[in-house]
Amino acid sequence: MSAPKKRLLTAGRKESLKGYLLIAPAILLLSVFTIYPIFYLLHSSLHDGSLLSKKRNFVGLDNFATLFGSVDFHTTLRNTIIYSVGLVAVLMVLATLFAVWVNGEAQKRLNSVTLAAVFTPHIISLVSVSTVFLWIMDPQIGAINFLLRAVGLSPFPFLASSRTALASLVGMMVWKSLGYYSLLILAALQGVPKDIYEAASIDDTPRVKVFFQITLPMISPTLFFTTIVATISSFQVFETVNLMTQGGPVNSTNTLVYQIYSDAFKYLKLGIASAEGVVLLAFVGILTILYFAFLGKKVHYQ
Amino acid sequence: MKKYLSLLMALMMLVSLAACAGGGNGSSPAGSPASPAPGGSQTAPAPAEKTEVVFWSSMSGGMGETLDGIVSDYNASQDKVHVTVEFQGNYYDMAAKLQTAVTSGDTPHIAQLEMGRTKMFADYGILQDMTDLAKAAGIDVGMFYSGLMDCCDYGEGLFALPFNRSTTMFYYNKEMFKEAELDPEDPPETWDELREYARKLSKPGERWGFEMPIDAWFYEAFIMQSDGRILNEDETDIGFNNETGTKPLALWKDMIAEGSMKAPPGKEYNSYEAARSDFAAGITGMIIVSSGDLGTLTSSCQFDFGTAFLPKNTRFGVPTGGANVVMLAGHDEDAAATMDFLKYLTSADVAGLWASKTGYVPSSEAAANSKVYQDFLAGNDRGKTALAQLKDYTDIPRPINENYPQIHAEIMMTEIQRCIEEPGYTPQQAVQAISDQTRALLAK
Repeated sequence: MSAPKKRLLTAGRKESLKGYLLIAPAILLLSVFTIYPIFYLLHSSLHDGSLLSKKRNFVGLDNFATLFGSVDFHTTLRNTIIYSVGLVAVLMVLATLFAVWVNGEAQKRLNSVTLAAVFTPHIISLVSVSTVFLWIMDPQIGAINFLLRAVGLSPFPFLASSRTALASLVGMMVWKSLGYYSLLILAALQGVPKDIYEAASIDDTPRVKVFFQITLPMISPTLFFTTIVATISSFQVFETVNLMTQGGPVNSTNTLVYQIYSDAFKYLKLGIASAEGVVLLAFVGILTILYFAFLGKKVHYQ
Repeated sequence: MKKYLSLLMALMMLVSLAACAGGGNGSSPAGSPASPAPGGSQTAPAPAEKTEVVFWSSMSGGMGETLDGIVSDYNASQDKVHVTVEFQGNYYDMAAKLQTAVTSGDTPHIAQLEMGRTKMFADYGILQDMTDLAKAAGIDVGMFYSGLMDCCDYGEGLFALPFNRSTTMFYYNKEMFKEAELDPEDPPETWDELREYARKLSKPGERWGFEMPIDAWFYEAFIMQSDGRILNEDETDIGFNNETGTKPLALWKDMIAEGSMKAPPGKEYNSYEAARSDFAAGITGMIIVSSGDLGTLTSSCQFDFGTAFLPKNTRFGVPTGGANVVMLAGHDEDAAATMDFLKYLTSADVAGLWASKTGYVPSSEAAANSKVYQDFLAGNDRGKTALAQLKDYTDIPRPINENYPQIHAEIMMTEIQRCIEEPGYTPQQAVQAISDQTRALLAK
């Protein structure tokens, strides 16, 4: 009885069994909440009907044809891309500059106070932030326009105009996320060995050159990671759109995930919504692959 | 870094798991009346012999309190049925939540469903046909105003009963009328008068004579005022791809350009709120919102205001709006209890009380004649407008097509807003675009 058991559980097998056991909960959750939904999404995207239908018919790629033939979907895609690229670009540049400034030697106390102030928005619920910004950016009674009028400038429409609404959302999200990304980058900056900087200062290297040739390459793994995370999360923007603009005015803030929600839950078009979900999946997938393939090579890993 | 990250992820999974489990536990006792709640902790369990009926509502604030009052009166009035009201958000939220409820098989008995979505949901077989049930319960369906029944019974069964129904309504600030030397008892009757009055009431950059959300519901009203139709006869295209559709947009564009009309910011119900608060603040002198806003405006306006029919182009005409109560399918065992409550809710005195407190229209002649509603009208001329409009000018029906919610909320809404916002986008282009997209949608 005990002899074959011993043979089955050799030290190596025991070790790998332990490994499988340890990852089992994660794999289980991943299968239930990620892998199964992905296949369900692919399945739904090839069928018509809604969540309420008793039977859904196979329609092949009809949903995708409808989607790409619709002007509104092109607008939605464009909005999503503009939003993501705009947000990530502004965020990364500002967060890096801010982190470098905070990391500087001078005015330590001021730096930490500023960091705390910039980080605070991150811990406030996005719902509260959206509601407060609805008031701050109100064209008539909002705080910003009150100040603009006080100094004699004409009020800014913010969310009320299709030309400025998307940019207003980007601006709010920059304010909200700047502290978080700065903190990540700051952590990376503090991990850069001091002796490299000392060597540079002995050589009298200009500060700009130090930044581009030492600092930036040394923190590039973190920059790389934060860019991926920020892009993927900005592609999935939903709450702010739902709370602040409902996709308007004139579809100018209608983004991919909000469109998915509208089609699936407001208009009961599960097939179309799933096809949009597949597009989102593809976009995020391609982005990730691109990053790892191209940017990954240029990133300096220690 | 990695270690913390995985720790964090593990924590997040735990939290989400706990949340899932919590949600499941919380909702199951309410949804399955068959299993007596074992000493239920959150909701006070009704005595065993009472049938539990769950009512999903979209009413918040003062209206929510009025509804709660009606329901607790009902609960106290008898000992067979106990109704629980659960607030689910606005009409859009309600539609989304009903869908997930049906999918998970845990539906409420009654839901407040926006009128335009009746067929969309009924076609999936998730709404109970109440024809026989209503008869058995002694609800006289013939008593309801016919203008309210178009969307409840369109020839395929009785899928809804009128509850908080409204019409579009015109409100004007009487004091501002006096100040501009207009007769406060003579509101504008035609589009031309509307424009003339609006000009007189406006002060460049600080006050606008007229304001109205750029919303497809009001667009429908203006189409009807030129005797236009929303969809064509065989429901393959819109019915206003002609002057009846372009004239309203041209009027609004002109009025906005000359500064006599203001388009409030926001979409969906945000823009209604913006229009109401501008009116209450004296920033605009005349607004068009829902008759259901009467209660809110009465309590928020510090000045005397009046209500009137929406001005006509060639004729008066308004769409109805608001929501009905529907019964979800699959509650056969509790059907009698559910209908008993619905009978109470739609009965003359209760419907009259509801209408008098909220500004929604009474659902039947009997409700309009109830003492509580007559008392309400006695002291107040404002309340009479909605009912008069409902009786005489709701003869052009709103579409009940299952695709109309999307045509209305997505296609019409976007195009009319684009037309108002972009100076070079003509009413003809907007109406043509609505027609093109509608035809594509209806062709499927």
